[in-house]
Amino acid sequence: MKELQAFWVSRPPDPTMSFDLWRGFRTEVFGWLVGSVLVGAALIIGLYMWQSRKLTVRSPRDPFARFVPMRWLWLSALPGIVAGVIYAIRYATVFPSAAIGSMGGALSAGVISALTTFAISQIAMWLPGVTPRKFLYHPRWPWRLFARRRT
Amino acid sequence: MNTLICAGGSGVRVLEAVLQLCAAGLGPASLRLLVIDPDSANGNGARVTTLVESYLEGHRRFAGRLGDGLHFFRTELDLLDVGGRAAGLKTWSPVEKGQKLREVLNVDLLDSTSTPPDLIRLFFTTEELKMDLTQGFRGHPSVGAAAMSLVTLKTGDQPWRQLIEKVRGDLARDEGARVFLAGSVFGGTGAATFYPIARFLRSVPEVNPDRLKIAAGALSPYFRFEAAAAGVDSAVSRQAAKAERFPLATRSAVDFYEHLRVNAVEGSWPFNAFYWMGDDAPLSVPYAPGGPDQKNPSHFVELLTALAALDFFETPGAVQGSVYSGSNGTGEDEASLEWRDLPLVRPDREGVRVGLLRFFLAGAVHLGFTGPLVRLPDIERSPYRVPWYWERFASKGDRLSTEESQASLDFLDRFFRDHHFPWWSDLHGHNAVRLFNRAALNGGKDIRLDRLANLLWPDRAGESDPDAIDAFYTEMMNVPRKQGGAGGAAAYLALLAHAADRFIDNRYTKTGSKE
Repeated sequence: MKELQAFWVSRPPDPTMSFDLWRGFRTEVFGWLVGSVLVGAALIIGLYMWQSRKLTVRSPRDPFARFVPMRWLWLSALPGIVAGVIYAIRYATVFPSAAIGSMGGALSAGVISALTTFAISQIAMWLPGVTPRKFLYHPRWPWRLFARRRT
Repeated sequence: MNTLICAGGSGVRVLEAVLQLCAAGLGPASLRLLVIDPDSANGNGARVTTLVESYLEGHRRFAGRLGDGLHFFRTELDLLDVGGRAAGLKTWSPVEKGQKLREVLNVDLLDSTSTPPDLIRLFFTTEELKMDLTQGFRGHPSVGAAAMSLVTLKTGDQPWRQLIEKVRGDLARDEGARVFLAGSVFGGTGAATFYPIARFLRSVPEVNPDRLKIAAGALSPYFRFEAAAAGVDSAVSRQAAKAERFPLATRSAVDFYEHLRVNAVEGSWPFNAFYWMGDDAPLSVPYAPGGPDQKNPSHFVELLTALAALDFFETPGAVQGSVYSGSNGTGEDEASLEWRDLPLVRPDREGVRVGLLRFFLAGAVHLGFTGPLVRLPDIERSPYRVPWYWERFASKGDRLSTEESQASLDFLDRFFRDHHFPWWSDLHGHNAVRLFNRAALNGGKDIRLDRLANLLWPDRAGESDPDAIDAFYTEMMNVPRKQGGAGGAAAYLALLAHAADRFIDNRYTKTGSKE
């Protein structure tokens, strides 16, 4: 478990690594991570807006049907995969002889990237104008959890 | 205060039209009703009696609870109820059940007077004197007028006693009393009613006689039937109203009233306004001598008369003398009736059109979509799934699942399905009527939701917009929260009406489908 090092730490996980190389690597990965999060979130929100606007209510049961546009949130995994893969590739390239493997860092970069994308996309869905008025409360699951507890 | 006196089968159907307009919010604040019909058991009367009961329920549930600017079911009806007697629409008959004209006029007593007994034969045939009047005057206005003129002997009886007291009470106020008489001039009861009753009403005021305004809505022939073709036995057939005599009877009535008007001496012409309505292509209806079988479909001429009555109640001084209205003969293939042909004195013709369309839309969406929606068990489990329900009801602890709200929703179902849409459908059974879209009416039970944006004539053939209901549903979300009724079903109906206004603005007005 000692090998599972977070990539954002300021000191290199292996003391034999060059501090400058580590800092440059970290900046590069961070750039990829931010980029993939932003692109991923933009993609998810765009697809969500497009599909939720395309969705129509034609029968009385339609408002209670599964709210399909929320499925685009699964795309949050994509920036995670991108960030993780980039981390692994670049780590192997920059630190070919490092004693500590890239798995831990790549995993944490992927998870952080995916979660951040998910959070940004989810919050964006709550912003005015993103979700059509007729489905306004469909993406608000935390509110519903609290409401259920109150009742 | 306004009083509507409806005489005979046509008059009763005018009352039906008036009530439909009142339900749509176009009626006055209050309206006193009286029906004059010897044939109180006729099918038209039974239909209107049910409608009155339904309207009263609507008034009880929604009047004053819909918020500013919405007047559905606003008109308060005064049915001249008297304690200890049956409540409901009063139908007065100048004759008793089974009575014959000779009994009404006490012909047998003429022997004991100085009047020669044969004098009566100058006015009536033997058949007329022996005619059973239970089913009305059967197209014999002379018989009806003779019976009707005896109203002066009934002033101590209900409902006249109460009506007289109330009219006198109205005359003590600045607003005065407005009385509109509606009926046909080509049949028996209606034709016999106008002059005797108007003359009688003129004798009612003890003070401020000028505050009593009387108008008549006279319907000229707008339907026809053939008694002989219906296989009616010849004895009944001989006494029955005959459609071929309608034009002659109308001509006689017009001559009679013209004679009265032209030769009027001070106060002898009892009418402030006389509205003549008709159609040049009378609708063919099945013959029925009277009773429950006499159930004619509603007709646009009755709508015109109802609008005349509402116009008169709103601006009694706007029409002086006689005016006439009917279908417009300038259509390409046949005479027609379009929105612009509605004979309105009031300036907001567009307001009438939009008012009727708004009520129509609200009813159509309720029956076809929101009514079933708010009855789904899902809405109580996940109210947030329907944002307007969450914001206006559930989040405030209000529910449409309460017994009271459910009863109101059931009432709306019944009113639109059993009364309002079938009435419009009847009206549009006549090809000349170009108000609503016949294709959308779908026989009058449920309105086609894919035609929600094409409810007005003309039909855009082949057009089907399954997303029109989605647009309406979205408008329900866009209605400002301050617009709404007093909670429960009233708030629900108010929301439908406001959404209908927005839908009309977007789908009808802005797209230019004004006519």
